[in-house]
Amino acid sequence: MPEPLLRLQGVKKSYPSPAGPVQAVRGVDLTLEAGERLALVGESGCGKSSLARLILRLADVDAGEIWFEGVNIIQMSDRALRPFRPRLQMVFQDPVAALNPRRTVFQAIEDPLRVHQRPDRAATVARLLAEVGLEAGLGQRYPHELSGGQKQRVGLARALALDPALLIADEPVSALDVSVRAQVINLLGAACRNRGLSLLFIGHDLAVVRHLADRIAVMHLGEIVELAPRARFWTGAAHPYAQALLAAVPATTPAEAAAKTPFVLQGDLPSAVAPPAGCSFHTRCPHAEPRCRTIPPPIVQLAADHWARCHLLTPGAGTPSLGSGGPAP
Amino acid sequence: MSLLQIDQLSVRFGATMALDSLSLAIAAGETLALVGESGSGKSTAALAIAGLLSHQATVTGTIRFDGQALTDWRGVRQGGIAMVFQDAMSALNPVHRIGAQVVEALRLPRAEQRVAAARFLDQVGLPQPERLVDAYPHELSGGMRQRVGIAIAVAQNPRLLIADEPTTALDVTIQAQILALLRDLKARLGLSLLLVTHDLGVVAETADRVAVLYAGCLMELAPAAALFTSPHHPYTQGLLEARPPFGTQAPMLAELVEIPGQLPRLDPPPAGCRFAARCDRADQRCRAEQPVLRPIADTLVACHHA
Ligand SMILES: Nc1ncnc2c1ncn2[C@@H]1O[C@H](COP(=O)(O)OP(=O)(O)OP(=O)(O)O)[C@@H](O)[C@H]1O
Ligand code: SF4
Ligand code: SF4
Ligand SMILES: [Mg+2]
Repeated sequence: MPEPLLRLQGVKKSYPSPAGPVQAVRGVDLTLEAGERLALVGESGCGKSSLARLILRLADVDAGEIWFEGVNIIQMSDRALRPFRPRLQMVFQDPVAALNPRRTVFQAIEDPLRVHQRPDRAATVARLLAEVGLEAGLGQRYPHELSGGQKQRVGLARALALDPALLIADEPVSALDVSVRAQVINLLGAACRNRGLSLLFIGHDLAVVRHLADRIAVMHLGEIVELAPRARFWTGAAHPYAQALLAAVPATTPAEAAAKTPFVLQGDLPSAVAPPAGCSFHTRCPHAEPRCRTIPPPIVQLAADHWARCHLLTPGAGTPSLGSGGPAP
Repeated sequence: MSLLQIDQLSVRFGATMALDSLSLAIAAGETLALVGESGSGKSTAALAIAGLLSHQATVTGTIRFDGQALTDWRGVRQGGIAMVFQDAMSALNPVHRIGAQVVEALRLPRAEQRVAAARFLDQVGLPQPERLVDAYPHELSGGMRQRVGIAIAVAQNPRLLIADEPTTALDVTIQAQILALLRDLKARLGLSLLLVTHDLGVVAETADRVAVLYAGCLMELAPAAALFTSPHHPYTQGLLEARPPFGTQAPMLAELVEIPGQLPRLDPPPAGCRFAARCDRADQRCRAEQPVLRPIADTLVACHHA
């Protein structure tokens, strides 16, 4: 089998904290094919951004391997990593913090081209401005003269400047006004389509995730608990936590709100310093059994391209109905 | 009679026109959602009603609560009105215990404070309220802090609860809990609820009626069901259409429907209709003459061509 664009194996990371080590990423296996769009979803603090930082080598893993374009980038020195950096780019949630207030739009987009000594920079910047839907005249402006949506367009142009193979977008539209979100989502989608880009999309708005992603990885307390292609996830998420996330999405109309079975997950996300033993979701799971409190659930392969970690699932059985304790399917 | 009646309320901050001639009413027991994006004036309206505007604000117009005109726009909490904020952490005092903060406004004798505080914490669904009264804000999760914020509001025995983006900072799972709590409190205590939000999903889950603000102006005021099924204002239509579809039966789109352009500056605001620069129906008249609200069926709409 050909090597995927990105492959994570047993990736772990913890950070020191006054209360003890925060186990941000607790053994993640994941692959991303060229041109694929994968979404990482989960509650705040579940380790999504930490995982992104590890892939970008903005932080070092404690254990595990990260293979990108056939090379394990974990042990590489900064120098050896240099040729790979342009291939891996990031769009941030906060476009303000991502831009230097003293650089014009033109300079901001040109900077990565200069650092990597690319030719024809002015022409490339002009092409990028057009690609993200900004008028050429905007190049002379400074970040404070731009709207939020325009700043995010600049952030995208910057990330695309070096012609990456993988774009990681961490909540790229969450900070934007609702009336401009669709513009930026469309731009991201078009960039992936037209450039054959792979996308790792981190987002909490499941409607946006449904629109953008080919596959969905659900993360809970530093672990991926379900991985499914879009054709299976939105109608047949199997893990009780994935089902709870889906049930928590607000209705799209008052009629839908009135018709739906109310389901509210009780309790809070457990601490990442001391994740619960057994299944990390057992403190909140409406289906938890005694074994869930002590035995970590196995990965259950529900179809060739769909798995989840839960004691109640049966291999190859597709998506089970988990009974009356949980959300309506 | 309406519990709250707002007439021609305008608020300026220097050259910025934050709110332009807002008129609306809230009935007893009703949930009104005030929907808008940044700069739409939704928080300004909420703060004016709660009497919490800053000293820089210039205010004209009237607000009547229970028939009484409110005259102080700042610094004075209006009796019968309580407010819950987006950022519960900054609304709480980090060095004071939770219990003391919940009953602070009640001026109870010391001996009664603990029991009263625990009762309010219990009312908002917090576990082990007797122990929680001694906790400090940083010991709680974001969702628990928001519940404390709601307990503080409930302790003031309000008839109108104003909640400004109460779930925006929370995860969807916790958002669902807080929305359920607000619905429950409203039913149990017979409150009116003014819910300020940018999220149409939150509106769909909670509102009886909806006021859509754009760039300081009320664009559409409608019963919630009508707003979602037959929006009249081009901006409301755009907002609803731009949402990525969701649900097992929802279509997969190649591209989302966009609202072109960006929010206008308000210092000063554009002449004519504030939405004209982004509206595909805009004409000369739209750019020159500001539309006034007029009734269409059971909706009020500010648009020349709706
Ligand atoms: N540099 C750091 N130092 C200490 N702790 C950290 C650091 N980065 C992340 N953490 C902790 O690791 C855990 C996972 O954090 P992370 O930011 O990856 O979550 P996330 O899923 O991206 O959350 P959000 O949805 O809020 O962005 C959290 O408990 C967080 O506080
Ligand atoms: S393993 Fe047990 S606790 Fe975990 S999700 Fe499955 S049923 Fe729930
Ligand atoms: S008044 Fe004109 S510009 Fe304004 S929303 Fe109506 S049609 Fe559009
Ligand atoms: Mg994050």
